[in-house]
Amino acid sequence: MDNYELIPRSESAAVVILRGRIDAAVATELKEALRLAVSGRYRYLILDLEPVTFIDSSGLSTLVALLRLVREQQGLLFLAGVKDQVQLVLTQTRLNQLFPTYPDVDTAFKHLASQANGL
Amino acid sequence: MEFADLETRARWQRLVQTQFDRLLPRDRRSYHWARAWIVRVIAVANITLGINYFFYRYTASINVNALWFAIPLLAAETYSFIDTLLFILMMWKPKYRESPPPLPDATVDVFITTYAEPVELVRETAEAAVAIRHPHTTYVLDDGNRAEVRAMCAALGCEYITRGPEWEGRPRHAKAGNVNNALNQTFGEFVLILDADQIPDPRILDRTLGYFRDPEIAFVQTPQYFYNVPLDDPFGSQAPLFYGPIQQGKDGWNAAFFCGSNAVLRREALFQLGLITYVTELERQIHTFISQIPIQATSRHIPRVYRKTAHEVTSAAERAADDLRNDVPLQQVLQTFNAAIRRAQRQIVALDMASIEQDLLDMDLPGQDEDAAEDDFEARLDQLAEMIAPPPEVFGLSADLLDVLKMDTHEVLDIQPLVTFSITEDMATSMRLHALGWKSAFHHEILARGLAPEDLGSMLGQRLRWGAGTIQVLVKENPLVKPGLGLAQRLQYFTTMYSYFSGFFAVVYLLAPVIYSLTGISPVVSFSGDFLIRIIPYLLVNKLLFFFVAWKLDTSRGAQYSLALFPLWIQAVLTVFSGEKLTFKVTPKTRQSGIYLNMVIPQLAIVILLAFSSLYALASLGLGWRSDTVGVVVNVFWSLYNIRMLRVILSAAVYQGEAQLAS
Repeated sequence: MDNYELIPRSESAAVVILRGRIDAAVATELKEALRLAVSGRYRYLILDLEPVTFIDSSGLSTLVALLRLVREQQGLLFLAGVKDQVQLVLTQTRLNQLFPTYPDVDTAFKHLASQANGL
Repeated sequence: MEFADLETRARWQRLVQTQFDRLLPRDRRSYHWARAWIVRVIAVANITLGINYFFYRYTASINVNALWFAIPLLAAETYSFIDTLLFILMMWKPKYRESPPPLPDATVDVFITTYAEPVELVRETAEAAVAIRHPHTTYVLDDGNRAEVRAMCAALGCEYITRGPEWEGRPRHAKAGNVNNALNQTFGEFVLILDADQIPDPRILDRTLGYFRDPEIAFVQTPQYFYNVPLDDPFGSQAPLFYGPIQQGKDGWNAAFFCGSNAVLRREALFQLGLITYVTELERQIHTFISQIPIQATSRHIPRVYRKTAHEVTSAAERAADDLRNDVPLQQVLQTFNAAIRRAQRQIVALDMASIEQDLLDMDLPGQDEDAAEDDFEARLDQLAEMIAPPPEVFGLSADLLDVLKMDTHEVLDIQPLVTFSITEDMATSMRLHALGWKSAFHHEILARGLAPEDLGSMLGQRLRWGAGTIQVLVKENPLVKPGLGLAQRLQYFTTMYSYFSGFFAVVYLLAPVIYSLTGISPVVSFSGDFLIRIIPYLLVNKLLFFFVAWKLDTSRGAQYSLALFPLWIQAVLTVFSGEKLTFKVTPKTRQSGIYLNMVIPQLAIVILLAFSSLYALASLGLGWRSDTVGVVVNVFWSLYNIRMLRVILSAAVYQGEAQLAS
């Protein structure tokens, strides 16, 4: 799949860059692929949403599913680069309260490093 | 007949005509009437002899030992006979019109369309247009957006129109788009359209507007005539047969063609056409797209969880297609269908929200709506659905359809009075006007003089455009089945389209004598006796028919070119059927000089073949190698006839325009 890219940052942390439209057409497959890539390997995730142009309800459920996966492993999930439609949707659904959000990946990573144990 | 020079030919024609002329009454109207009756009598004879000939051809003449040769020739002859029958129908009741009294109060816009023609040329036309006697406003429609044309208009006191920025990146539709753009900015009841090179006579409106007293007349077409063409018309530019007997014949069936310029049109008719076209086109598109949804849906990958929803959309599309077929109003169909899409989107949103709720509960996080009442949740879902609805592509709906449903046609003008789907927008426009029940008139008087192409390349390009455009109209809007047209009108349009398929059969006619002369293989059982006694009267009467139809007109060039341009007609048909994109090319009004034998290679090759094979056949006959004297004589004459027909284009290829004229 070319709509995401996983870049390991340490033993237990990774940055996931999502791209383009995260909608019902791709969400199911994306959810499965990320579950496989992350599960049992990375507790700490930063989702870089900067290149995302549109997100729909299925995309949101992908984000929440990922959050659940990380929490089950006692990890943390931060969002970076959220903008425009994605920002609006997260606010309107009040899901933004669940996701610590930072302007870019580097800032998110700094905060992650200060909160996470054994990064 | 072949003549040493033009002078002799003209003298011969005058001689024949003065002999026959004495038999015709003097008054123009009765003269016209008498000629029509002579044509009818000859036509009946032609049909009778034709039936007699073809009965023999089909039952007794086919050479079964050479079917590969016999069948193509019989097909070609049958094609020609049908062509003759259609021609006879066209000529059955030609309409002779005398200019009605002018219409003094009519408001008229005169449009001069230009793209890249030299400013001086446009100026000459604009000056003549300003000088037209009937009160009017002259507009120069400059698709080239040139400052010097604008300045020229200001100096002459006529209006200047060019396309605005809204056309950028949109389909421009060439000349039709240019005229439509101007129609949307002007107000006259009637519009006279002139090409940049067509210098109007000051009386052009006085002579034509009177026809519009009949409120059902949509347009009046006048002949196109070219003033830069020498007497022998090397490129066959003048079309006296078309802008005379043929148009009068079509007019008799209320099917005179609009030919793009030198015509006055009623604005009301054009806008009615534009409006109806817009609505029906939209309905058609919606119907096509909606009918395609169930098919597309099966070929698209749809995630398993959404399949049930996608299926509901597909059913809704099938219902909508049925409703459209059953003439349920478009608006109602769209409302129902759009509601189905919204319902489907909401179902997916609800599904996703439920999955989110479940995840949140499992994480021991408060559900987003745990304290909200159920109906409040419903209301919020509606609101959310707007924003986070999955794109309809998920259910197999294409982006094109969504544009159609939003009524976005990508066009600058929703209402396009002149038809834009074809590169011969004029023919398509008149056909649609006739289908709407409008009438038309052909006024047989030269009231504008234009420039014909002066080199072979431009001429070939122009004819190819006409041919391909005409066949394109046949393919996209077959007149034989187009609702609204009468039977005779259908056939009038079809006749013109049919004639453009002649190229394939021309090859058969041109090569048949070559094959016979070289191999002795005959397409018919025998060239003598029974065959000749039937074909000779048939062909002679056929010639006589054309002679009387074209009374006093020099139509030999037209006849020669209709055969000699066979590669072009074939190319035109193939271009359309291969689905190649056709573009409107402006015909150059200034000469592109040079010698163009490379453009006529097929014709040159066939002339050489004809000459060689004839010499070969005669020589072998002389040497006693063969004894089929009648066959050889018939085929040598046939070859000579073919060479004479093709010669015109070979001379045209080396024609040097006015330079040659001067020397």
